[in-house]
Amino acid sequence: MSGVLRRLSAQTLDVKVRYAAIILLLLIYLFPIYWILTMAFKLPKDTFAYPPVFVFQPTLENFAVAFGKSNFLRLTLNSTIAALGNTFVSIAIGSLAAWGISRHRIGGSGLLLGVLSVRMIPAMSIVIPLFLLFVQFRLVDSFLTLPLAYLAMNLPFVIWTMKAFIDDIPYEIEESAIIDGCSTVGLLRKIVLPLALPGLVATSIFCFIFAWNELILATVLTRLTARTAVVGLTTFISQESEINWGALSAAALLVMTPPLALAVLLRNYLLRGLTAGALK
Amino acid sequence: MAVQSFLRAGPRRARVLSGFWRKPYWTVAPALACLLVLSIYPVFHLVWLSLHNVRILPGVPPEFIGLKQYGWIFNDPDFWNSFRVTVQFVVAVSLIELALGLLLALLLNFDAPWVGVLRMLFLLPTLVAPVVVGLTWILLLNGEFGLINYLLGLLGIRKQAWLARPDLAFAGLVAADVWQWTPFMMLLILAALRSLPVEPFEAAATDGASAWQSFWYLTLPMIRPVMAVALLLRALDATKVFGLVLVLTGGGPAVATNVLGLYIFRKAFERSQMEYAAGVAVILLLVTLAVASVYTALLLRSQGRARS
Repeated sequence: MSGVLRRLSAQTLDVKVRYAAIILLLLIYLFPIYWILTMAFKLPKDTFAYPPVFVFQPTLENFAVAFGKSNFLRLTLNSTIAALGNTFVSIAIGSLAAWGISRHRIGGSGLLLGVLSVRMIPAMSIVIPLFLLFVQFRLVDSFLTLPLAYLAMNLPFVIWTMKAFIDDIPYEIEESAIIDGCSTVGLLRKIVLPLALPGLVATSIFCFIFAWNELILATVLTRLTARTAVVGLTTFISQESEINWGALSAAALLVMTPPLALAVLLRNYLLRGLTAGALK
Repeated sequence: MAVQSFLRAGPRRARVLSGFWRKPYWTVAPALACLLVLSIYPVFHLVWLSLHNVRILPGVPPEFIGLKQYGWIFNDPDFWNSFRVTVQFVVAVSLIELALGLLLALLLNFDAPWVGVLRMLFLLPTLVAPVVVGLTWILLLNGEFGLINYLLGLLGIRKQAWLARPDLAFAGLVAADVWQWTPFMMLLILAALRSLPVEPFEAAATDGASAWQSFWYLTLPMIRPVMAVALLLRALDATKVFGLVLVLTGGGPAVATNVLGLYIFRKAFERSQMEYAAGVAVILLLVTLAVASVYTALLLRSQGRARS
């Protein structure tokens, strides 16, 4: 297969030319990320310089402002709690359901299509009733708020993706364990969990990134105590009359680092997770 | 990959065994309970809200007003403006992303060391929060010190007030979204390209077909189902756009980029017109579900055809 592909592509474009084109394109493509990275380390005089400066005296002042005056460390901590908390609960509850659906066909295809439809409900459509519900149960702006609310988005995702991963695990191992008299709980803990681990990691990455980046529910359901970093960035823009672009870029850099770091560190899982949900 | 068999799912023997065992329904119970409370019930409450006039005074019961709310919404030029902007945005970004994604996928469709890493690097913008993408593009598009004006200046084009002119602000919004989501399109199309059978291409090459001919008559027809699915998936997602617009243009100048998401948000939480916003949110939900059902139908049909 690869031999033919190589021959076919060799007809149209030499591999070296292709490499060069891709790398050039990539440099242009990732330039905006590099640009916000430099902004975070620029002094005010360099931030607003025109023509823009590419060589400058780096400073950490922006991070000091973001952490100090704007309390960004607290917001980042809140984001971490919300994202980790939700990922843990979504994965636990969602994979359990995925196993039941995959191995015992609970609910049949109707349940699976139902889960898929629920996944497509826009957050903006349910945020109003969800807000009223959370007010009623006095759950607005606590550390339970977002881990709970994000279940609405992440649970269908976990069920759908983990079912695909579990379907791919051969059933024979579980079968022999059942014949040996293993209980369902023991089966899940000792056999399914280790086998499904790569899938669990891939799915967790996406749950975490989604929860970390989410804006609508976080804006409406949190106030001061549990406000997340992403919400902090938007208030930065609307409230300050004179925007401190350096500090804002430093804060933005902090917000985009965890998803990008996860992607680079766990890149093998990433590609699997990205395609698993969409095309299957 | 077959969705129909995926939906039916599970090894056949699992079913035989579960005849002896009672199905462990408890495994799906917590997930279903959460979804009922956090997704399904809110949808019904949303529809209920849009049909009622809720009084703020204590002791006064909500008044049923039927479809009056929708009458008001459909007579509101601001709603139609947001509706039109959203449709324009969705059509523009999904088509541009499909075209560019296809080109990028073709470029990246070869085997060599490090290609996997290069593909992954293209995907990085996809993982950045839309709010951060918005911030980045404000810096790039800024009329005073923005880099894009500087680069245009080098080409002899004078400074543009990107975010102050309605058409340019819309273009900026589309550019930012295209930057973020084209790689996702590339990934889906690339997956399709990688799974193409080899035989037709070998036969075509033997018959002396040019690279362009084998692309136009073989590759394109074969990946068309995946392209349709990818297009709808992106359209579905673009309908929900919010964070990017909130930060980059704030819906402005005036209401030129005031997409439905932003319109609902402001009505509900800044102007306290919850029931009115609920009505618009129901409309957004219906539009989304319409696109989603086309998506699901296409997915099922294309996979069914591939199987038979």
